[in-house]
Amino acid sequence: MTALLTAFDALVARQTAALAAPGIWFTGVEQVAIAREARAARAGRPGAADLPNAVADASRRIATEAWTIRPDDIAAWADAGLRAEAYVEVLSIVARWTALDTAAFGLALDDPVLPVPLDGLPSRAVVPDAAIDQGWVPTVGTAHPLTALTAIPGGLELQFDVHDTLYLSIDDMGDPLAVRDGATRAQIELAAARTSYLNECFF
Amino acid sequence: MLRASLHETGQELHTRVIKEGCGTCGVPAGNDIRALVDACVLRDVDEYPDARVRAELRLGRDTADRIVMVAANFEMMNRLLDAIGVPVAAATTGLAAEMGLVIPEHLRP
Repeated sequence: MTALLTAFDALVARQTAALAAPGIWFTGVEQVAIAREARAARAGRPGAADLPNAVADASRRIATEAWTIRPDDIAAWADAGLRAEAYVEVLSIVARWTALDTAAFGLALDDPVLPVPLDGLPSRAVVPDAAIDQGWVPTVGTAHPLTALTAIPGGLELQFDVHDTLYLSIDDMGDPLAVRDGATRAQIELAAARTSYLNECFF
Repeated sequence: MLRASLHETGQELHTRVIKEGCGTCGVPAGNDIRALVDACVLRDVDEYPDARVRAELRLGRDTADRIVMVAANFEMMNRLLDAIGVPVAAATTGLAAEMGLVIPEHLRP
């Protein structure tokens, strides 16, 4: 096994453990169900009907057409019981597991196995400094790639676990001559730009 | 950053090619990278084997794997930004126009 595949395996193990354990707004059972719902949506299959409608709908929209989401959608999900911080946690799960599934496909591996959930209740911890600041959900500081998940404790760490393993470390991000595993920065950014184009994302 | 990295090595970026998917964008092995990214992000089981082999022959296994991983990372980042309405940086407006894209009203700074 190459060092890259070993690093990916370790990433999957860490992310799987996080998914199985109770989160901030969802139990382990619910977190696994969210990941499964998103995976079904990407495959064009119906969901398992084991989540509240708002959670299932948000999971599927984030998985398949995140670019169509608007503040009205987030407000409607909130009216249906999915508060903004919980929506951020759904987003965190779906986005990270989409990345893992895409990487596995491209590395000619099977989709990572969803874990058996652990018992326990979500912490329901709030981040007191999080507030709406140019985005549609609370963030600590201005809505930005580095603050997207800051409404949930630990959100940034889970994001950067994926980011650092699959892309670049924060330190390397400012280096136009960075090379990783033989891929030049231009090649890396072409892959990023083409992915964003396919996802209709302007980032 | 794509343009800056090419500039550092004395190359020129042709941005429209990133969108249109044909021609040479200026990045070495760009067509092979684009084909591999397309196959992975679109989960195209028909195109993937050929795209993977071509990329691996051109770039080597580890580099092809890294390209896959970068695309996967942006599957995450794209969703994070679009789903919470992070405004597009003002500096991006010119690049979007150059690529023939129009930034939607709801994402304008």
